[in-house]
Amino acid sequence: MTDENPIVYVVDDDPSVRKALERLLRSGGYETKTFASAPEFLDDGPSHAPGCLVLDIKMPKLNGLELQDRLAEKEIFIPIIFITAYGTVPDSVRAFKAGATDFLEKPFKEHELLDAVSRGIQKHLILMKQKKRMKILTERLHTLTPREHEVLKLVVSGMLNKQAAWDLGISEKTVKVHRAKVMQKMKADSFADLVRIAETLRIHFPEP
Amino acid sequence: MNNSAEEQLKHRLMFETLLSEISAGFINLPAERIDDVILDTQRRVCEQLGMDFSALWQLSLEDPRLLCQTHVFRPLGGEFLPELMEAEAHFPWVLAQLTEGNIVAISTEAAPKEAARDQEVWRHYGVKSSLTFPLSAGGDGLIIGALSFGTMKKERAWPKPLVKQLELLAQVFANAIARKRTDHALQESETRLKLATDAAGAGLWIMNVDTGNVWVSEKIRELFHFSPHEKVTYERFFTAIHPDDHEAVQEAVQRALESGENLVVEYRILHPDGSIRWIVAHGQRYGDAEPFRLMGVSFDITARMNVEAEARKQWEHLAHVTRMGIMGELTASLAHEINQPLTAIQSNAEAAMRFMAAAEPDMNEVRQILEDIGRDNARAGSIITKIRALLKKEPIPFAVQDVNELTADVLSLLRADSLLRELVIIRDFFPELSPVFGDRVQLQQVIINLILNGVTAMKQDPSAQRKLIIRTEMQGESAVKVSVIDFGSGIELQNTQTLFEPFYTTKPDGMGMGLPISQTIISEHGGTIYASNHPEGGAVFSFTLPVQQGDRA
Repeated sequence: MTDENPIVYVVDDDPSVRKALERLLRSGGYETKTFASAPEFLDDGPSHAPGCLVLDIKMPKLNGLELQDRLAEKEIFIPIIFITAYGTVPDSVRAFKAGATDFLEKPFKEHELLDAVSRGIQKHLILMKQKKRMKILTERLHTLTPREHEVLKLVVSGMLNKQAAWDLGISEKTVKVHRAKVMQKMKADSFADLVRIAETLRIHFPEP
Repeated sequence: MNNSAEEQLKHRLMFETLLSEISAGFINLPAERIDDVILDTQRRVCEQLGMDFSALWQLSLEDPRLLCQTHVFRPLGGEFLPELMEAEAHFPWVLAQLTEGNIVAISTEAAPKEAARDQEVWRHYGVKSSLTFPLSAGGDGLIIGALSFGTMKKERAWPKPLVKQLELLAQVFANAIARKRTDHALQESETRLKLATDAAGAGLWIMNVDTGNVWVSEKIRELFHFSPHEKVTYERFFTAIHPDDHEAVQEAVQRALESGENLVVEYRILHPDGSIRWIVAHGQRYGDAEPFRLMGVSFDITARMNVEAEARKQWEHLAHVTRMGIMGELTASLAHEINQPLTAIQSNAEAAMRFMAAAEPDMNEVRQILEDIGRDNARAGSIITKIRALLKKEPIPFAVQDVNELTADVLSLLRADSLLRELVIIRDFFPELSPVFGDRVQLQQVIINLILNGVTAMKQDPSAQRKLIIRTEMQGESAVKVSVIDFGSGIELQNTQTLFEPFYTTKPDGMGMGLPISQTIISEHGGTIYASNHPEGGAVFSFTLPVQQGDRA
């Protein structure tokens, strides 16, 4: 899907921890970028490559949880693995609620970080794939004429051609023509496929 | 004849008009005007119908055998029936008739034989003919009094239509009197309540939830600085309440209204001169359905709050330190400080092993890693050394201490603590306790630890009694013993030693430092601390302290 190698971002204010994590990740075969603070990471900005973020919670200036909020605001949905030297239950609850992938307490056991990173990257790949499919489907949706769009909405809601024709005040035959056109434009193999596509896209449907 | 019949009809119509006028007048008549209107009605009826008297009698509330003449119209003057009359003795036959629900319309001289005593009394007072109605209200048929009309100059007849008309009037009177009695009873109970609340220094208030209008007693006006005749509303209260407390009060009132639970809220009022008074309000919703009313009392608790605040200020520091404070923070920062180098060491070691496993290991890199591991290890060590220095004991000057007194101080301090509010604390102090030698604050810290342990133990067990016994006693002649007895689920006996080890805890948010610190303090004082269970369920934590030897002070 993408030729780019995954990148693991590490944000931790403790230089020796940062260095050690960079080594550990590198030993696991990951390309790594380290940052000493959350603002530094925000300035640099994560690339479009798949990856994940290993983030310390307790940091001066912007802490890890705040960075998580900032990223959400910017609609950067990179999976986050929190690491903390003194975890509290409220912190972990907040982190998970905001979509954290993992929450590790320092010092973590062998492989814990590498496993979490691997899961995070997988998650990101899936996310990116979904996003890409969504983008393609949306583009296809935009090729429909307004009338085709209406027909799509009605037929996937379970209406028979005849009912849709009545609803739109056109002949059943015309509905059939539109319907075939919609299937073709949306690249749907079957009607069931079309319903699935509509389901995936449902947020893009304007309310009547 | 024709003329007379016409005259009669005219009279009758006039009287009917009068009656309907009177009946209408009683609707919505304020209770305090009922008496006057009854008297006025009696006059108008007598004048219109040419009768010599009308008397209304009520059964005495104190003694139901007595009839009390409460409303009388009698323009002739002279001796008349006594104001308070024993009905059974004076009018036995009439009373019996009335009790049956009958109307008595009679000429004195035509009275039946059974009415001999009644006839005698009528004659005595010069009554020639009389018409008497039973008064009853509320549909239970119980008589609350009687209404009579009569003549004294000459006899007169009581035609049916007239009796019917006057019966209607009697019913109107009966209802009015019943209403007045209820009103009176209500006023009386309110007066009693007011007396009771005033005596307790409390102000009374009743809020109509729909209108927001609040009836308040004088005491409330005084407390809140409302002027004597000012209309008081729910909003008006809030102009007096301290802005910081608005939300709490509003929430409490809302909750009481929605759930029917008792209202208990403490808040401050801000007087125009800037002074602050503390108020506690207790109230309850009443009424079976909406619209509800909220009724309650409010006290000024400023004096109590000041004492509590003073005590709190004095001891806050101590309680805080023990509860969560320094130990909690210390543990958090300790964990953070030490975990950082440990994380680095762990990750470095892991990375080094992986690098070493490569076909051509980069030995230079591995050497650097090992150097870093050494450095991080030294860093962790130095953190521990720093903490040791921080915790290094300073010699504390001991003094002679009265254990009862310092324990009592702890209890008055904790009284304000929310944790202990729902709890009964029983003091079982041995009055002739020997003095001990030690540090007051440290010993109090131990007692606080033990009390909070007990409280937490009971909190965790919802079925537990909310009771804590604090006992002081002599152990022989040489030691003082203090015990804190709770009614929680007790302790597992194999844990009695583990309990005192650092970081051992059974509390979800416990630090596991309370008991070890207590143990350190007690052993520094030359005493021992131990835990056991008692037969009623629950744990006993006790410590002993050696009695102060005369020459050490």
